[in-house]
Amino acid sequence: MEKDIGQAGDDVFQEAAFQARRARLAGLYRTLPPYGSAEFWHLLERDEEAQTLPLEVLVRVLREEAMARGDTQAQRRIFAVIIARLQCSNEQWIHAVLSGERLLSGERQALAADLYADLCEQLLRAFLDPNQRFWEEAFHHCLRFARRHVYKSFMSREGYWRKTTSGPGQRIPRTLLESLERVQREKKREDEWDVPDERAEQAFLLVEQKEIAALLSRLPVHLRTVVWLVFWEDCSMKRVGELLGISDRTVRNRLRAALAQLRRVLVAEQEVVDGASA
Amino acid sequence: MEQAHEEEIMRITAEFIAEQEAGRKPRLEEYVRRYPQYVDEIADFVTYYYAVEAGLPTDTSSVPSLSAGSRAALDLAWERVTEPLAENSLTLATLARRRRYTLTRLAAALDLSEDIVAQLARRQIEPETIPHEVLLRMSRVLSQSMNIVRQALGLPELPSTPFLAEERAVYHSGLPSFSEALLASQQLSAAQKERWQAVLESEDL
Repeated sequence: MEKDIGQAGDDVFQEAAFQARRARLAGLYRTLPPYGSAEFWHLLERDEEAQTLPLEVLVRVLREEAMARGDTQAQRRIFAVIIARLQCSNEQWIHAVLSGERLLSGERQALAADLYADLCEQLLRAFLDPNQRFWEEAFHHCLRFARRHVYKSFMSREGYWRKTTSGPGQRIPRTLLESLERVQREKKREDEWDVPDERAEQAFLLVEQKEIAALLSRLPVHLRTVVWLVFWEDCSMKRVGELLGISDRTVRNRLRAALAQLRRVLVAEQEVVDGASA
Repeated sequence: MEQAHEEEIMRITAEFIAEQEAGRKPRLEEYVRRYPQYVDEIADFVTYYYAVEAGLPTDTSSVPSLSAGSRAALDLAWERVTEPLAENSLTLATLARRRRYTLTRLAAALDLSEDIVAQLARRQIEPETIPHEVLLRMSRVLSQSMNIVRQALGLPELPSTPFLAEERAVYHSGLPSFSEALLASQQLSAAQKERWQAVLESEDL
């Protein structure tokens, strides 16, 4: 596929940034104290030293030193350091994943522990797989992908469980859906007459980015992309059609399908709530 | 997703996040334009990022003591990854314990009752009469391959060709069938029994 000049420039800039980062990390790796020495462990495990050692370097040490030597004790020790350094972030991630769920406190605790164990397993498998080189370059971004993987498996597994036990799912704010529907109506007019509509924009601004993203996570990805581009980035339906290589009509149909799907979830959820309060 | 393919997506989305963290408000539109071949993957990541990851701390410069929760998660992960299941310990109870499932939670996850799951765990149901749907659900819930689940339930590894109904009868060992266990269950609700009867019929069991 041909790239335009702007894209080629961005790519070069991006690659240069990656290269600089790789060089810095390689430099840090080379200056580590001898593997296994007291100084080495001091650097890895002592709080005041840790900030000088990026997690990318720790992954490389785990692979190229501990794994290469078959030193399982050291592998576990390094893994524990990484988990400790991620502790705050991972615990907040678990909280973020479960925050939209209506759960009893015992259930929440059990699910949090499940999520945490699944995440640690995913991380350990990744660290022990030397083919996953990007961990040694951009640890935090790889972490996001690992967490997304765990999140998806978890939601698929637990979503099924919740569905079969008729429990409530994630809360969908009715006002949010109504805002989307209102914007859709306004958008349609705007596209037909090409007149900017202030009310549509105001309604759109009411929608929080986090909420809209959480809401869209419930849709198949081909519907999600259209909704995001139209509602969040304010693209015209014509523009979205051009970007995705589909007709305006298909864009409109996808929007309608997306909103209908969200509406169905909302109605089903309302029935559960009504049933519970009856 | 292939390793190289996933790494490419990671590099593209890393740029998106770098822009975001630099306060430049990146637009999905721009990335869709530049990488039309990865529209779905990028949109999928971006929505996940804003729904869950945005705003989470990225500072990892301190090494706190491991909390009890971290320690338990780490120990369990280590066990799952580095201690392979011994063939003679392949039981439903072992698989469930590795996933922190109690009998009650596992039964709920499978849409079964505790008495049925307990019978399955003790291998008191004729294995050849267990619906494929049960195996599928166990495989997903316990994050294990189909063959591991089959072994845990006392079934041989997956045959290369599916069994015919008349071949199944050969394996009958005097244990109650899944269908009989279903009917005899005191804990399964009428609605659950109905759902499972439909599964049994669809699988010709």
